[in-house]
Amino acid sequence: MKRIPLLVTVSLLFMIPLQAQVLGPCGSGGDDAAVKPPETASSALDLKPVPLPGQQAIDFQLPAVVGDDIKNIKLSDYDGKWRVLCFFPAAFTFV
Amino acid sequence: MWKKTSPTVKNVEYPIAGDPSGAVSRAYGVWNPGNGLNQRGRFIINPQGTIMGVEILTGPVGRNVDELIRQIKAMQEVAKNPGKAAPAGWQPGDDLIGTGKDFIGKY
Repeated sequence: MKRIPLLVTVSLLFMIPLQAQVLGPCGSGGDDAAVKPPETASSALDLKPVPLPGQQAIDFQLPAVVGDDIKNIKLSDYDGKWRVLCFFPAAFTFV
Repeated sequence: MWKKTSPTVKNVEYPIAGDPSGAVSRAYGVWNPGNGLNQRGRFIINPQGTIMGVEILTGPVGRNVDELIRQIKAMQEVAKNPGKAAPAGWQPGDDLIGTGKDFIGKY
């Protein structure tokens, strides 16, 4: 059987980084331009309809644990292979 | 953290990614704004990047990995044999069936 790379993303309980993204890096306050999220960021955070079979999978890049390392991976890094993308509500829950 | 503390997750070989902004979860429509958590979404993506299968379960219900593998194997067989189909309940090793009017009502 061919090995199937399984990509797993976990939407962690805390959504704090979302806020951090809007506010910019800690301590960089005072600059109005830094406080405003870029226009693309707000549309990227809209809840989209579930993609259906036949549609092209949306590519993304996220930090991931791969083996014992943490590195940025893209869905398209695994082009040419069958892929399973699994979303979990939280860490420490079952598959 | 999960990988360091869980004896089972420690053995996981596939990448485990974090989506702290939820952007990817929203792009795939599985984020639940009601509780800020993901649904248990699962997408099978073929080598060309096309979505072939979608399953979304409510958070408290677990998936069936055997069924996932059965579906992928069926998709792989059908991809290798254009014009054929894996009928209901198909299992790896079973024959594929033809498609078209000659096969109506036979499966």
